This record gives sequence, structure tokens and C-alpha cells, in this order.
Amino acid sequence: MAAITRDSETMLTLAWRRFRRHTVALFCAGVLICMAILSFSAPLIELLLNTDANLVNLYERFAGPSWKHPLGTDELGRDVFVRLLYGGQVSLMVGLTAAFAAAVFGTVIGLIAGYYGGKFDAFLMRTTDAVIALPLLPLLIVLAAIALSKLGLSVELMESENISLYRIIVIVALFGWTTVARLVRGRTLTVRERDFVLAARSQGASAPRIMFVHILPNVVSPILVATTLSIGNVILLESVLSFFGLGIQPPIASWGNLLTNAQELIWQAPALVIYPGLTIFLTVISFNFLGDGLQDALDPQAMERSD
Amino acid sequence: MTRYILNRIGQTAIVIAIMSFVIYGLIGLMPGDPIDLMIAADPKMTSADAAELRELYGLDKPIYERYWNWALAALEGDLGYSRLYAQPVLDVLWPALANTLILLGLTMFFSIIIGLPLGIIAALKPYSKVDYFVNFLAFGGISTPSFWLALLLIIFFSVQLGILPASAMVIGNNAGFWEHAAALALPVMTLTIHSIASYSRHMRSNMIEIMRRDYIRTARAKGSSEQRVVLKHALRNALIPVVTIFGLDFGTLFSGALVTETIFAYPGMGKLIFDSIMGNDFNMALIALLFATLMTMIGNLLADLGYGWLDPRISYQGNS
Amino acid sequence: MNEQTSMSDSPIIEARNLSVHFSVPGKGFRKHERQTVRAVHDVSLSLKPGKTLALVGESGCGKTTLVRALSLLIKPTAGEVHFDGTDITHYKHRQLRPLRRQIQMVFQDPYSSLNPRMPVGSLIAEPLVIHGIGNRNERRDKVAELLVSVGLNADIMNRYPHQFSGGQRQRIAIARALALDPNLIILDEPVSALDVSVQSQVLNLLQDLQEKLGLTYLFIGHNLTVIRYIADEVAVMYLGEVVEHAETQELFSNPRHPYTQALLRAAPVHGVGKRKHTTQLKGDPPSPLAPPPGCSFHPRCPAAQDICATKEPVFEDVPNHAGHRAACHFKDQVPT
Repeated sequence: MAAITRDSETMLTLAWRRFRRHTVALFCAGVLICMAILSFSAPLIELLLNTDANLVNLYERFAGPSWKHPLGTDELGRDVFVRLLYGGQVSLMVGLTAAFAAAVFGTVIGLIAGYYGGKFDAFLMRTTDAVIALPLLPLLIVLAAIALSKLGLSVELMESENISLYRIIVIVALFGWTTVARLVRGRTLTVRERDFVLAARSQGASAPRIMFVHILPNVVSPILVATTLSIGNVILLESVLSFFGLGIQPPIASWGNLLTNAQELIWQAPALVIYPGLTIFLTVISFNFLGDGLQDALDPQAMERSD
Repeated sequence: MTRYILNRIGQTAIVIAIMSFVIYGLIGLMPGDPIDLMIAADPKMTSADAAELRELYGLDKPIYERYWNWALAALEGDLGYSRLYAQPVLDVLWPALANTLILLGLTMFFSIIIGLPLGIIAALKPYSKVDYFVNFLAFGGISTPSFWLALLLIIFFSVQLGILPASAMVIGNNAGFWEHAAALALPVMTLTIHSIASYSRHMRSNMIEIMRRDYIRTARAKGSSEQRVVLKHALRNALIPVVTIFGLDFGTLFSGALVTETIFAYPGMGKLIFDSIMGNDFNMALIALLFATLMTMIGNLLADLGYGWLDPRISYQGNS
Repeated sequence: MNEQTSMSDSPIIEARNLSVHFSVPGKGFRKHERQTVRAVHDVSLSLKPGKTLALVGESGCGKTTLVRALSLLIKPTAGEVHFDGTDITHYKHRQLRPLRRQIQMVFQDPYSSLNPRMPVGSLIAEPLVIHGIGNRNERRDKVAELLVSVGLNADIMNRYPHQFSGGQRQRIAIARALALDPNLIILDEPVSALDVSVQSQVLNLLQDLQEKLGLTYLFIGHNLTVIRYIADEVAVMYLGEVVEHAETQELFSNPRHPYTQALLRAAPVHGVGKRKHTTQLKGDPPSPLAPPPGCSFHPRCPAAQDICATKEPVFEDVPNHAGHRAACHFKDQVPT
């Protein structure tokens, strides 16, 4: 359970101090920040290098690294580095948004289930058990393969160029909320019994107020940890789906769909396969180490140096 | 205990039933109504013809009715016909299932014999170089996209070294043992690396937690040799949760298998699911998905039961 | 039962034959046969305005459950709760809300009764926010006022609970309880978790506030010295029932229920007199799952007779001692 410190500093500073001790986590945080900065300054970098991510130049296919093209060019002569950066924008954004959406949804459900208990809680637990027990990827693929037209969505929504983005966020979040929900429910059950919650009730606080003003701040740290750890998973899922052509659709680039043609390219230009995958790998592992470090910093008694 | 099993089986059945409806609905939302496909193939068909055909096939009825008809037929054993493979669904399903089980079996086997010892070693020397190494390996393993890993392995073994085939198409055809083994090598490697990461981490954290417990200290105080302590006491208890991981891993492995099989063109359940969804083969996709769900749930059930059976502290009779 | 005594002010809050029974699952094989825990059973008492009523008893006797039922944080299984003359037993949340302003609580554990994630100012202002009182500035002023009235510095408003000692936290809790200008404050062992030196400070504060603001206190405790110091009336509970109820002086000098007598013997209170007996209570406290038949105290009672095992004693006035009630077949006999 969360440690209540009696130090003279605030709990936040204490957590920060603990976090600082994790060199690996700090390093990863740094890596991620760099990556984010680079990705989102892609237009700037394009300008600097004097290239264009979408510029097709069939005379320069599969070029090796050069000053003009730091990582070479792809099968259509496009600059790989800049495409990676743009892909980064999308993958990072989708990852963070989906993880965040899942966390919000999961938190609300967990709070309600933990606070009210009873039938709602039992129903919720059954549902999360069931969802967890399902084979994830096959179902995601089905969801991704659905023809949106049959759902009755408006035409303009479907034709918007970002539709594949929204879609993938929804799909991934749809399965990701269960972990957070369980976590929050567990904590809520504990916190609910504490005297200050009783005090709030005796003051006449309404249930939503108790849940969101009193209980929620006390369950935030595990949510943060779980969400950070889930971002890696989300990014992996998005990349798999995009790889199969079911996620982010071209012309929007994502790390996953940069690899869609990879299997054919293996024989000609293996480097093109390595770069996007490597980026995914570095990002995901950074998020995982970061989450691990956060867990130690925020909740040192929960898991001692294990998962 | 029997009551618990029956209870769980009942729960599983309910979930499968619900999932069958959900999947049926989802599949129905996939592009390409069978009639549309027919229309595409035959431009002379008029909309009147189409409507007639729809009625004939019962496609104009509301979803509940269609589902019910399907469910009744399925329970009688008629699982439909696969459009993609031009065979009854079950005829395609069984061989694919068998292939996937082979794949998963080999994967589990290697993961256990490599992953568990790694975890144990790391646990016995916590915070040492070995431990950091194993930890890093484990983190790396779970952070790697499996499709990328597959591609990397292909690059290394097929393109650069040329010793292993990039495609497992030979399975099932009249290929010899070594061809089969070679074809299996890369897919198994891909899946195993992921599994090893997971097993070694779990093993390590279990062992560490148990080694910390009082009864280990007691055993040491009694004077047993360190080795005996480890083997006899710690190991047995640490293995318990690991057993359950096998079961729970079923779901993950199925997902991993899907990607791996597709990339290597290995004719298993994963590839079947993928191909039938992409190919709009409704019947096949539906049954294959349900099967995958069923297998995953069975895995979970076995894990729960195994846990209860192995851990003497848990009793399903509910003693306090 | 509910007769006004000669004090004649109508009671602020009353319990009439209040019972709280919990249904719990059975053990082991009998998980499905639910058993009943009689946490509170047929309790009737009333609080006079401006006075302090103390509830005493061993842990598990039901005092906490009783006050929770009185403030309707738990639903009673039977009986009634009357507030200011009105039967509020079946009030819904919306009806109770305005009443909550008049009944506030202070809890035992100063470390868990304050939300660790809220600064002190917000904690104290919370009741005001809940009831929509005042704007931000007005609330801030009120909080400052409250902090001063409990002997703390107004500028601690922005600090967090973990930065304060137990005694200070209880003062903060008291300030919070005062925020809505309540009539009744229920104090559930407010000083039990504090160091002895700090206890008297907080008790004195409570008394001052009572005088100044005309507060009524329902005080739960188990330390008889403290009780004697602060209470006007005392009610003794055993196994969910009130077994004796009298004015403080009367109870300490003339206890009529064997349980009260045992309690007083076990913890001699200054001024009561020499210990005459060293007899201790026999046996362990029974489980509220299976209260003994007849008088629930009889298995441990040094003066038990046959009738005690079969007939439940009535909780009524001790002869010739108005206002002093006890539940014992032999309450009219002065202990030797």
C-alpha cells in the first residue's frame, strides 16, 4: 500500500528523490524526451536537411547513408530519417493517447466498482476477467478489419484522413482499460475504509465527490505506473496492426507501416527493416524501464526489485 | 473441488457463448457481404436478383435470427463451409490446430529449459552482473515487436547466412524430417525469445520473494547446504506460479503465433485466422476465432486448477 | 425509556431500541449459512444539549457501530434515531445532508482521518465546500478563524497533514468538525492515540470549546480517567447492549452492574477509593456471534445466579436512584 511518509518534505519531492536514484530510468526518460523533441521538430529538420518526407525520387532508391540522407533512402527514394521522425509523431501520439484514454476509462470504472461494491463490482470483475482471458491480437485484427460503413458512421468522418488514427486509438484502448480498472478498484476498496473517507461521508459529501476528490488522489500513483508501462504495449500493438496494413494507413507514416513492405525488402535492403523496428524497440524498452523506475519511486513497498 | 471445476467450466461456456455472438456480429461488420462479392463477380446481376439471393441465403433476416440459426447448426456439428479453402471448416481447422500446437509445444519446451534456469540463476545472485544481464535481456525480450524480431532473424539466418528458410511452406507437404525442422527453426526461435524473457522474469521474482521468506532462513539455520535449500525448498514453491504462467501464456502465445505464422507462412491456426479475416471468409474466421478463444480460456482454467492443486494452502472447499 | 430527566431540555439526538445486526457468511463448509452478528442490540439513549455523554466498553462492544448508526452512516437494522425530535431513521441521503451540518465527527486515528493528499486548509474547508458555503476568500477567512480557535497558527493552511504531530492533527480534525457550526460532535476515542501529555491539552481544548460554543459531545473512550474528567453522563456497553447509564459521579461512586464494577476495579480511578477486591472477570469476552442466553454477561459475572442464565434483565432505573439505569437482576443490591 502507499507509504505515508513523515518526512518534512512533500511526498512529491520524496518520490522525485527516489526516482533520481534510478540511473537507467532517468536515462530512458531522457531518451524519450529527445525522441519526442526530434519527432515533433520533423518539419524543422526537413528544412535543415533540405528534403521532403514524401518526395519520391526513383533515381535515388536504396541509397546508403549520406549527409543529405542520414539514414539513406527507401524503396521509393524517400528520405528514411525524416520519415522515421514523422512516423514517430504518429506512433508516440497514438501510444500516449490510447494509453491515456484507457487509463481514464479504467479509472472511472475502477472507482465506481470499488466504491459501490456489490453487484456492480461483481459484474465488473467478471467482465474484466473475461476480457483478460481473450486472445488479444486476433480480436484486434477483427476489429481493425471492420468496415466502418456498416457501423453507420457519418460519411465525412469516414473519409477524413485521420480516421485510421481515431480507429486505432479506440481499438487499442478498448482492451487496455482492464488492467487499470482492476488496479484502481483494488486500491479504492482499501482507501474507502479509511477514516477520512468516512469523515467526508459524515460531512454529507456526495458519492462522486468522494470518489474524485478524496479517493482518486490517493490512487494516482499506481495509475501512473500502470499507464506508463502500458504505453509500450500500446505502441507494440499499433505497430503490429499497422504492419499488417490494418492500423495507420498511408500516406500517414507510422513506425509500423514503414515496415509493411519490409518482408519483400529484406533481400534488397535489410537496413530499411532494421531502422523502424529499432526505433520501436528503443521506445518501448525506454517506457518499460521508465515505468519500472516510477514504480520504485512512487510505491517502493509494492514490488521490490521485481517485475 | 469438482464444484469449482464445474463452476469454471460453466463460466467458460457462458463466455464462449457470449463471444460467439459478439464475434458473429463483428464478422458481419467486415467488408464484403457474400452477396456483394457475388455481385462483383457477376455484373449482370440486378438488384432484384441480389435481393432474391439474400432471401435465399437468409441474409436479410435480423442478426439475432441469423445468429440463432448459425448457433443451432453449429451445435449440431455443422460448422459451415470455408469459402477461401473450398472445404468444410473443420477439415481446414484440425490440421492447422495441430501445426500450431506443435509450434507452441516446441516453444514452451525451449522456453522452460532456458528461461527457468536463467531466472533461477539471476535470483540466486541478485543485483549482480548476471542478474542485470538477465533483467536487461528480459526487458528487451518483451519490448521487441515480434514481427520485427522475426524479420531480423530472417535477415540473419536466411539472407546473411542462408542456412534456414524464410518460409515454412514445406510443412505438410511431403517433406522430410530435416526440412520440417529447418522450417520450424526460425518460427520457434522467434516465439521462444519472447517467452524466455517472460519466464525468466517471473521465475526470478518468484525465487527472490521465496528466498526471502522465513522458512528458507529456518532451513539454512538448520544447517542444510545451500544447494539443498535451494533445490528442495525454494524451487518447489517458486515453480508453483510458473505452472500457472504456462496456462496464462496460452493467450499470449496464440497472439504471438498469429504474427509469426503469418510472416513465415506457417500453416497454423494463427495464419488461418489472419488469412480468413483478410480474405473475408466469414465462416472460417468465425470458427477459428472461437477456437482461439476457447483454447485461451482452457489455458486459463488449467492454470487456475494447476495452481490450486499444487499449492497445498489453497483449498477449494473453502476452509478458513 | 425516553423520559426527560429533571434537566428537561429536549435531547438533541436519541436512539430508541436501536439495533444493528450484520449478516456474515459462516465458516468453512457452512459458507452459505449466514450468521448474525449483533453489533448493537436494543440500545436506547439520549444526549442532552450542551452536555457530554461518554460511551465506555471493551473493544468490540459495539460503541463505534452505535455512533455510526446514530449518525446514520450505517443503516440500523431495527429501532429509531431521532434528531431534534424528528424521526430520521429512514431519511435518504438528500434529506440527511442538511442535518449532517449539525452532526460532525472526530476520529481516533489522527493519521488516517485526514486525507494525506489535501493541504490542511482544504481539509478544514471541505465541509464548507460540500455545502456550498461562502466563496473562496470567505472560506479562507473561516479556516483561519477555526485554526486559531483550536490553538494553531493560521498560516499552516498550506501544509500537509504528514508534517504535523498527532496532537496537532487532532486539533486540525477538531477545527474541521467545527467548520459547519454543528450542535453535536461525536468523538470516537479522540485522544486514545495520543501521548499522555498531549491528551490533556486536547481534552482541555474540547472542554473550552464546549463552553464557548454550547456544543454537545458524544465521547467514546476506554480510559476511565479521561472519561471521568470530561463526561457528564456515562453509558457502559457490553456485547452490543448498554448495561449501565448514569451521571458520571454517580456511576463512579455507585456502580450497580457487575461489569461496570469490574471495569472500575481493573483501572482504579483517582478518588474512587481503595480497591476492595482483586477478583478478575472470568473467561474471555464472548463472540458477538453467539451471545450467551439470558443476561449476556452472566458467564463472566462473579455474582451470577440461576436466573441470570435464563432471563434477560431489563434496562431500567435503579430503585431510589433516578436517572441511573442498569440491566441487572440485582442492580438494587449495593456491592460489597
